[in-house]
Amino acid sequence: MIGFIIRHPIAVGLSILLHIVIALFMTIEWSEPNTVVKVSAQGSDTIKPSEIVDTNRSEPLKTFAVDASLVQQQLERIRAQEEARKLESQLLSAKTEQERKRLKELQKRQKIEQAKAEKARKLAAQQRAKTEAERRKTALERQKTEEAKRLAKLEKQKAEAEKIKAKEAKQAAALAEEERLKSLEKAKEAEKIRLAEEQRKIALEKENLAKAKENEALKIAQEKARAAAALQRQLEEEATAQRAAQKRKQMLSLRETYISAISAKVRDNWRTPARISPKAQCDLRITQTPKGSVTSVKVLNCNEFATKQFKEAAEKAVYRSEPIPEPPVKELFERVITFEFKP
Amino acid sequence: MSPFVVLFSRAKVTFVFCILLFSPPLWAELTIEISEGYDNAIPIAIVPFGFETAVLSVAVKEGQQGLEASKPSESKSDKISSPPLSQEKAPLDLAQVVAANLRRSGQFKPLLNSSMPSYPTSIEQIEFRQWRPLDIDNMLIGKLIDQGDGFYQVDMRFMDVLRKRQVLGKRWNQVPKENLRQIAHQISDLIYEELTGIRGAFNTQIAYVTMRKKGKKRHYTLEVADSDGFNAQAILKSTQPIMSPSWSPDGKKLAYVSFENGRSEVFIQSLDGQYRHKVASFKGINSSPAWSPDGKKLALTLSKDGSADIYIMDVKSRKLQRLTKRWSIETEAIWAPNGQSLFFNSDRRGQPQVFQVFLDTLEIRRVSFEGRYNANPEISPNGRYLAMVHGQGGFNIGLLDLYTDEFNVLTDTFLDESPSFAPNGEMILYAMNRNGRGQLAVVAIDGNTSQILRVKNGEVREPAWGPFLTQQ
Repeated sequence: MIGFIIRHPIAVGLSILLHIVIALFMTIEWSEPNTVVKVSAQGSDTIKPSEIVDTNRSEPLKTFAVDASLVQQQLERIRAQEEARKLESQLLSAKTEQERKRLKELQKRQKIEQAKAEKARKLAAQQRAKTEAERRKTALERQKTEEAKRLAKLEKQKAEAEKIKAKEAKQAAALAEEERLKSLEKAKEAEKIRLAEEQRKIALEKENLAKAKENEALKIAQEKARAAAALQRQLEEEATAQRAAQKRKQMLSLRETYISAISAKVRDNWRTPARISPKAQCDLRITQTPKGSVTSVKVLNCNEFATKQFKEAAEKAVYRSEPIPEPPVKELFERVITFEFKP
Repeated sequence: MSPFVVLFSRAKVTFVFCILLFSPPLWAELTIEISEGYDNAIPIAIVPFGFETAVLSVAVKEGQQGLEASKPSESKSDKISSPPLSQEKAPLDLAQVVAANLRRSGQFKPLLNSSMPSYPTSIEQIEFRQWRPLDIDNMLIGKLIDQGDGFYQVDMRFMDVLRKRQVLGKRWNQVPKENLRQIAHQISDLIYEELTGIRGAFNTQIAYVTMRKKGKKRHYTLEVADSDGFNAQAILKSTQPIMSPSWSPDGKKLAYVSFENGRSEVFIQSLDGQYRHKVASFKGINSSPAWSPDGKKLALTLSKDGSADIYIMDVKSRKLQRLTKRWSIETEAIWAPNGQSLFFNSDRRGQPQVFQVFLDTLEIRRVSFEGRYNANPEISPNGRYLAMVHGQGGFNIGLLDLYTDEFNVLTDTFLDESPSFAPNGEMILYAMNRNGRGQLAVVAIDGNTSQILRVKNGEVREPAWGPFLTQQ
């Protein structure tokens, strides 16, 4: 027995599970007589709630009053049902046992068949692999041969090319060597020159730098000196300019006085029998000697009111004003003086 | 002459002034005295002219002529520095005539001979240095040369002393002795124009009427003289009044009113004595003749048709055109210089005022508005000024500027009447009363200078200044 269990653990397990399930079914009271238990055909030992199809779910529970007889009747009925179910259960367990046996047999047969098929399949596969390996071996052999051939050829060509290449290389190498030597020589020479040049340059640069430094210093010194001189000069110039401006201003005012004095004297000497417009006006340009003698009088820029008589009288007034008043300072003397005359 | 003024003056001729003493009158010669001059008259040297016959040259003494010396110092000075006289005396002191003319203008102050450092007669003789201290700007020098047979040569040089150069120089040849005075006037005109820019009016004539009493008779003389009162010539003598002489534009004829026939009549008389025509002798008043600028027409005041009105007479045909038709008195018409209108005097507003009538439309407009009495209009040759007798308290000469409507009273003399413009428009000759006698006076249009012309033994009225004698 134990040996059987050991040999067929799955079948034993399954049968235990089946027993448990059946026992469960027999212990649970089903309020709903119409409920059908659906047994998994695949022999699953777990019942998933979702797989329970509740056909009356859509109908809500209703409560109503029943009388005792009716309940008795109902109970009677339930008891009968229970009895029937017990019977059915027994029947079912017998049937199950039978089924289990059949299944066991079936499994056994299936296993043997499976082992047989496996064996045959394995064999076939071995055969196929063998053939494949054979084929591969031949192909590889051929490929190997071709490769060897090609390689030989390639080797040959390579050797040939190598030969030429070697030759050329040899020549080139000789040439290059020569060239290289030459250029090396040249480079050496150039390097020599360059070095010399560089040295010279460096020396020059050094010298220049020194010179530049010197120059810079000199320049700065000069600049400083110049700036100082310029400042001095500017200051001096400013002072001079200021003095000159002051003097000029003074002179201008003195000159104004001088010219007004002349103009006033001419006006004092103005007289004419002619009827003159009070609007008459001319410029008088007097040329005089340093002693104030009039050498010439020019009447210029007259307006339209200045008649011939006015001009004549103006000119005469200038001559009558001899000597022309002296300037307040000698340097203000002007040989030619022009002023606006309005009597 | 205005009837209003006549009436007025006759009633009031009773003032006697005894400020000046005059020597007894010997002959009727106009004497001119300068009563007022410019304050700033210009000093000028009019050096006596040299007089030459053959090689001799002398400067003539001044004061030989009949002009009454107005400044005693002047006659005194002659003793001091008269230049040497030659035996032959010059027929006329030209320089003296020129100096008097310039002095009379009021604008010049001729240097006294005695003040002159020398008497140069040519440019080379002038030492300008000598003249400078005398404060003169100009100097006239000249020569009168006897060319024989009563003819003379006149040389003149007008010098600028300040600039030491000649301004003007002119020579007249073969001048008859009687024309020398006219040459002097021409020289005066040249100098005046050079210095003032205005043509001189010295070489012009004036007409006037003198009245002398001989016993109980009055003697009226219409006279014409040089503008300086010399060379007076009687044109008409009458024992009856002569009034309103009017010069023809050519200066050759006079129109005037004469009462010689016991009533007013208008005559035209040529000055050369060739003819005398009676042109208006209508019933009633014939007065105030005035020549049109072209000399072809006379404006007249006639009352032949009732009241006194203005008429125009064509001188040749004697045809009349009546300009005014009023019950009032319209008189004393004068022509505008353009000949297109006349100014006249009318009392149509109650008091005499000056009106203007335009010949093309006979439209009349009032011209004078200043005061209650404006009569006897006279227009200046340039048509700008209207002189008139202006009555306000007295009667004086008023001047209305027609350009600006400015009105000025020019004179302060007594009972002024009959204004008459000098042909250069610078002066107004008019009649006035002084010492109870009628005299003439001249006033500058700016009122700055005046002079009085009088006759010693009579009265002088009704002046009229003649036109320029020479064309320019």
